[in-house]
Amino acid sequence: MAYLVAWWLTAEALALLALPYAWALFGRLPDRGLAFTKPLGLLLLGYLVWLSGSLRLLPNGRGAALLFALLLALGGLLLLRQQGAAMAEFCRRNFRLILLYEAAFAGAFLAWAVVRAFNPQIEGTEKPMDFALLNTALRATAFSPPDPWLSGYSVNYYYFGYLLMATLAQLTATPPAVAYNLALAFLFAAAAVGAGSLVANLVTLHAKRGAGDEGVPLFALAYGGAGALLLLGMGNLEGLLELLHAHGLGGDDLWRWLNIKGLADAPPTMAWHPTEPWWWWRATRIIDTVVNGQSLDYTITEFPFFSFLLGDLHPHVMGIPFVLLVVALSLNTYLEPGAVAGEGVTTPLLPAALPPLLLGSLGFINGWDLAPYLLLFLAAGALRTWRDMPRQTVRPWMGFGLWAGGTALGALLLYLPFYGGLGAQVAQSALAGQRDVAVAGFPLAWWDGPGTRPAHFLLLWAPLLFLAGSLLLMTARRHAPASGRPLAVVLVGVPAVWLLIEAGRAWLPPDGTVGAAVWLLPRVWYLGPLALGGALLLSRRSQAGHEEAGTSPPLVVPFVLLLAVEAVLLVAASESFRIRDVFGNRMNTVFKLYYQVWLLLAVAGGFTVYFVHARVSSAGRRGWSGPLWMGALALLVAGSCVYSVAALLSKTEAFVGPATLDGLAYLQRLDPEEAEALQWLGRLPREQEQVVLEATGGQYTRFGRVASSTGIPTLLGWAGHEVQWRGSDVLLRGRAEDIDRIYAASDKTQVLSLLERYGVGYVYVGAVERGKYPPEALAAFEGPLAVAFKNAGVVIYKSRGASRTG
Amino acid sequence: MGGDRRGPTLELGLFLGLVGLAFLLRTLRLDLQPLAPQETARALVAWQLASGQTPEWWDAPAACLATLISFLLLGATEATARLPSALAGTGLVAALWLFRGWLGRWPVLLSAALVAISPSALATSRMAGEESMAALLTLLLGWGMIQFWEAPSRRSAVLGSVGAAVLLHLGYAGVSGALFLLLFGAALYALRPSDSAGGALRGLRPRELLLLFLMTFLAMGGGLLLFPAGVGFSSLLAWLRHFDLPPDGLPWPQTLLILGGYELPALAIGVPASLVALRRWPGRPLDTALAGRSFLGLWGLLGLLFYLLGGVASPGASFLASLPLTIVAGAALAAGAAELKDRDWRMAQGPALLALTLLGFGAITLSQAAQSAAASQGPGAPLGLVALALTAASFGMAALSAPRPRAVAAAAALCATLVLTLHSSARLTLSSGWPGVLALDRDGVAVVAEQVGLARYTQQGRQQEILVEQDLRPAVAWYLREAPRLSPSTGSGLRYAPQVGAGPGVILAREEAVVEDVAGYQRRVVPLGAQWTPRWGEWRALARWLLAGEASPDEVSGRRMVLWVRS
Repeated sequence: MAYLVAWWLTAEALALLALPYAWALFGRLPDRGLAFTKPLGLLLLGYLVWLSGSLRLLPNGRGAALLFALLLALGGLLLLRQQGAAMAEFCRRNFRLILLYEAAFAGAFLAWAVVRAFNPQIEGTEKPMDFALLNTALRATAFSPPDPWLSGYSVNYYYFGYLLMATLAQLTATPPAVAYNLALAFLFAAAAVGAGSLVANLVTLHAKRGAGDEGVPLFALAYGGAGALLLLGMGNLEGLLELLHAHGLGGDDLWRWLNIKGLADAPPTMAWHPTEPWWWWRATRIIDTVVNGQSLDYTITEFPFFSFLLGDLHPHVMGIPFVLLVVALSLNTYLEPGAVAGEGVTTPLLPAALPPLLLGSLGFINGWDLAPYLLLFLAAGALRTWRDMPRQTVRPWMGFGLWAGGTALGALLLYLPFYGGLGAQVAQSALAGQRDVAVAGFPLAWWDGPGTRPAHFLLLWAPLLFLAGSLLLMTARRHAPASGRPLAVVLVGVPAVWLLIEAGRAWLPPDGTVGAAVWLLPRVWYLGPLALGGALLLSRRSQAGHEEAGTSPPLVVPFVLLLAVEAVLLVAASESFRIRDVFGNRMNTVFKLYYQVWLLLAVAGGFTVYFVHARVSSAGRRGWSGPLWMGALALLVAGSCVYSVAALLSKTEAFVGPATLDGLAYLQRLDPEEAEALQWLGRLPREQEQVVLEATGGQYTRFGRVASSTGIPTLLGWAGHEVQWRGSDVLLRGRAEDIDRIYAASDKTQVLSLLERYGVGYVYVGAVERGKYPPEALAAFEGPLAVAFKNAGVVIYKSRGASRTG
Repeated sequence: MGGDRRGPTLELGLFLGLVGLAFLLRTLRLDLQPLAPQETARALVAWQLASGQTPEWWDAPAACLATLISFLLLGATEATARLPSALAGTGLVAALWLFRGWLGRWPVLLSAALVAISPSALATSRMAGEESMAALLTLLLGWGMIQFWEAPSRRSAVLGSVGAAVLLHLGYAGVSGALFLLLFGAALYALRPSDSAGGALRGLRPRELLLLFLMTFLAMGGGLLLFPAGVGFSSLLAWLRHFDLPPDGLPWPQTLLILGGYELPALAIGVPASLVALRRWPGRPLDTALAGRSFLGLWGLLGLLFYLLGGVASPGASFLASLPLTIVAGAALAAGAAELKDRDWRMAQGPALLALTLLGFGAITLSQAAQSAAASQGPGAPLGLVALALTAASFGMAALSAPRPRAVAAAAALCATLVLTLHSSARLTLSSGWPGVLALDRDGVAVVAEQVGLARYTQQGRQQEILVEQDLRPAVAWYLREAPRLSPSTGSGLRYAPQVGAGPGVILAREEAVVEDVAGYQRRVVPLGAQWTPRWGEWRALARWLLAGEASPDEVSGRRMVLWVRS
């Protein structure tokens, strides 16, 4: 509880620190970026900590974090001289808004902390990897941090998110196993408030049409809540199918036709929700084409609710609040007159320097986020330039080119120690191309495997596509009133096309002309919305309307369209290309791009709920289309939320049982000796580089647990992950054999040189090692090596390389 | 008018009396206790410089230089190691005179009285360390900053540059002070109207000031050429280390208890008063009195944060936080009580009586403390409880019946503050040390000297390696500084001594750091100072400690150090 309060207080302090910066940065948003102060503050602080650690100026730690927090406060005070009076006036007038934001953050933070408290274990899936990276970010005195699963090398992965969470843990003095769970709660709350605020700002801007200068009305916050629900509270429709199947509804033919792996064989349930262990996992493995039992298109289709429920502290999860921050920044850029050309800016330095800092961080938190959101940001700038551009003038586009180039270059330069290292990694991969396991060549490849089945696609995307389609068609109708009844097109057209395609796939041979066209449709359908969206974006009529030349903000609909169009583009990319990786398929490409699509469509969808609702409920409008639309949306969202509620109950075992935020508490119960030994190792001074030897083995197992739980590097942890991170196994070769040699040797004096070569300070012998190596070989360590720690289950030997006495 | 003539004389007399009292409390019997390990770190460096040796490292060059001067003038002893700190502590009381115009005449007197007897101020000033010096310099520079903004002068700018450079070389405390000043300066800049800021900066030559600052910084860092290798920003690293997490997490419940136990008035009155000052300041940015209070308030609140986030519950960090809060609290109480008129004084008889009761209680505690340094089971706690109940009842009655209840309450709180502070100081300085601080007592010193003397040479006649736990190393080095050809090794800490294989001849470690005996070594226990570690939730023990400084034997760990001598 104390840590929970400490995290909340620290988050508030960070928000206060960032307030002047947010004020300078989000001058065009009605809430002035209030909701983004927490991620912004953390990001600014984390950047300074990382930079000083990378340049070896100050050692990473609580002291450095506190010092930089004070320096940020100092900068904030200096900013107050210019904007203090306006800020104070805004805060006074919008006190209720501030309270609501804070209440929403505190509520979401507490709620997700409770969820984590009922399933806090850091075990299974990729949690050991995440915990390892969090621990190494905590232990590291300089950056890049040492790779916990490959001693002697530094982490070759985007680790900024772990560093940010470690900074929070440092400031609050939270043990890593508790910090892991609180980090998830913090991210959940920051994402919820961020998404809500984004939608609320869009709604306010559209509703006020520039009439009011600041503040967000209550009704806009309600739509913001809808946006947060779409992003974080909703699952996909597979949950509904699980429910139906668990209660024996639907025939075998239906389940076989749907072909969701494992669903047809899932057991029935006596409870109202499915009770099969891990049933909720299937919703993220929907897309696949299985021919003769062989998977041809295994993909991952995670969505934010699942990620938070699963509890893997992965980069794509940690990136969410910061991505939303950048989307808000893009919106502000779109709204700011002269932002691109550098005119009319009140505080020139910050708006120029901070966007590259925020954009560059995305790739460092989650490599997949940089390109899409840099594109969005630049597109927002382009849209603004397009709007401001007098006809037949090239000059503004030259300014835009400079601005775009400068921003992109700045985003890379500000994180040069990281991106430079990444470049070195690419070069290393290219050099290792002739080895056995290596990824080389151009990073993109055509995806020539099967496309996504429409049925699977709609299971994943029906509610968000329904909203995006509605927005597109309604905008088109406004643009060209003669284009018919868009709502009817959405309501009837989409299922019709879906049925047509599925029917064609079932009955038409793929090699016939018509059949080929039907089979091709899923691969090209996005061209339609893209063309329509693009045309609308470039249409000057959609930009005009309520604004007077340059004095009021532009309509926000084009920006929302931009979000939707980018989402469709990303879907198109995942249907056409794959990122070249060690898996050799499009699993990761779909996974990471779909995740972004969800975020973009959720924000656009939150606005669309308002947009359509406002139009259909406006005075003088009567008819069936409005209620029908609302009813269809409610059904789709409710159907998708079935998953969330049921999965939440399953994962937390209906909130019954002891609650704790300590992710290693389970170890205290299952293996107290190992827990004690890991605690002992964790206390080794972090200033001194240590290497601990443990047995190595397969991924997703207990192997690598010592390094994972302490952050102290071991010779080799999960080898498969190392290959993924480094694109090659060249650095790993021989290590597993050497580890076996050291543990299995009956005469340990023969392997002392190996220990010395790898700089091993401690040799760990626990249950995992005893399960793999003969006991007499393990006992032989005694003598050549001193016993540093011993209890009933674990012995830790100290080799000569140990840098701490004892 | 006659009052005006007499006032300053009486006021000055009282103030000088308080300064004298502060001097006596800080300098009398400075060698009563042996130097604690963290004190010896400073003393050792100064001694090495004085004897022509080169220290390994230092983190508060200015404090070490001050100690060096003391050694050169008066010889290297425990008392002279502590003298600079004691003098700076006295100077702090004297420096409050500068705040007379901002806080008021009587408020400054009361603040000075409270600082003079403040437990953490006394404890810190009677220890060899940099905190008192850093606090004095921070106070002077803060005062100068506000003055400078009002009436800029070249002389004050020059003094400020030099002072800031020296402050940055006063260890973690100096860096903390510099940060307080920096933030306050930024707040001053943000709040003051543009024209006044412009006026303040006109006519100055920033380049010259920067050069002066850098030269002073480098000169201090290099020990005025006595230790050129010391140039750097070691104080900043010490500041960063101050916040390093201890292995078992932050001691903040203990930290809070200690601060609450010793500095309750500063917390209970100083924090709200500081917040009020900071709240009012933006509305009246040109009010220098409010700026002065805000400076102290900001310092106090940030100091509190630093203290709570620190890795140890150190008296120095507690002092840095409580000093400005004590000043603000004293000023607030005096200002409140000054509203009492003649009739109110009669109504305030009840509180006065109770103040006397509390004074009696303080005297009892004092006598108890003086009788025995060990844990007491005397009548202090019951007496304290009775006094507390009577106090509460009488204050309530007096406040309800008086026409100016707030003023009566302020007067009563003032009495209680004085007595509580006196009581806390008495038990801190005379009965037990600061909880949680490692101490090496005389017996321990003697045993270490004897053991190390015996084990000085191996059979081969080579110098024996002595491996000493990190925390204790400077203490052992200091007390054995005269031993010929004997220098402690630079080995790492010995938290897990039993696992040492073929190791050094003598091992020293804290007792609790060791779980087993070491094979091949003989064990000998060396007493350290008795310590009491307050624990969260033990309310009875806590109440007894707060009221009477009593701690039952099972709550006191007679801490010991263990020597293992290879047999």
